[in-house]
Amino acid sequence: MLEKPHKQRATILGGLIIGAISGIPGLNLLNCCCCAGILIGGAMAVYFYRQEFTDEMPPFESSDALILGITSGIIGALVATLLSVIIIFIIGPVDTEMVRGFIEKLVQKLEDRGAVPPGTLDEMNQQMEKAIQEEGTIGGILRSLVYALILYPIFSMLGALIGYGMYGKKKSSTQPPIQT
Amino acid sequence: MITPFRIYTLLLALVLLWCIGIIAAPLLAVVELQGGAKFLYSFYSHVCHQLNSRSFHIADEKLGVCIRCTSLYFGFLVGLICIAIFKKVQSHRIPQKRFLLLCILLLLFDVGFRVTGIFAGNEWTRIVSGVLFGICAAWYILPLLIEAITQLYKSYTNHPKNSGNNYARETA
Repeated sequence: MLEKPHKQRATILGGLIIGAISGIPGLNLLNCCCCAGILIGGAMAVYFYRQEFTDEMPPFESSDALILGITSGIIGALVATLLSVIIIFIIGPVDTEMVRGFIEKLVQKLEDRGAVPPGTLDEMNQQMEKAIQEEGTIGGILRSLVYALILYPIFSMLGALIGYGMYGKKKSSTQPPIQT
Repeated sequence: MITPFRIYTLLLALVLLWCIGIIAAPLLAVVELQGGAKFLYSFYSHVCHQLNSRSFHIADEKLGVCIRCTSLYFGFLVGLICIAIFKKVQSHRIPQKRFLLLCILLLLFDVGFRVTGIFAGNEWTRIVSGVLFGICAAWYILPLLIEAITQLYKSYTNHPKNSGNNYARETA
């Protein structure tokens, strides 16, 4: 019987998805809904890993999904922090202003439609101002990295387990969870 | 020795701690322990937008996360407690996929309809969709988490490098 495929590719792809969703301004709004972006990244890592299995290989187990989720989360935290640093220090305030303009327009539209209550734009502006000030310092970056290294692996692991339950199982040698 | 009940207890304790943190943030602000409140708000800001207008309040101070996230996390906690009451913790049974899909769709519709302006929704739609997804996620994730950790533990103890430790543990 063949060995299980290596996890590197799926882990890196999952980590990159998490990093891109969490690190790119505007796209990271997805994480405002209970870390949806990180959950998706964890589930995608499982999906990519599942694609590498053949019938001759041992079964894909939930422990594989657990490891994939945690490692993808760690990579995602590093990539997201790196992207944030690049955006803040290299691309600089031009990009930040552009993204802020985009988000302001979006929130303004939502306010006009009544989808968000009046005053949301001001509140978001205040929060963005605070975030930009904090993230611009070395201490702020390190703090964000520590938080990300704690939170991302947890949510990514949950996403990976949900992903495993949804499409991960093919065949199992141990006692599998039974769907009722 | 790792048992399903120990894994369940640890998960329950962690989720409880997470939920206490959500409520502790405004309480610390009320009693003017600003350092602690600031830390908790900063910690939860990584998982939620924390908009004032979208949050529950305690004494005019918003909770650590918004209404939807609060509902989801407390729903998860309730789901974990319900598992211990209504089914065995060590049970490998998980609900059918369609229940989870339905809960995810409810959550997506609530967000999607609001963003597109079709239906603005209210606190109740956020609470119901969040709690349902939280409960369903708990029933779905716990058996898989127990199975995964048990598998990892077994593969660790069966590994030739750790067989000596096993022997020492068994003879002790």
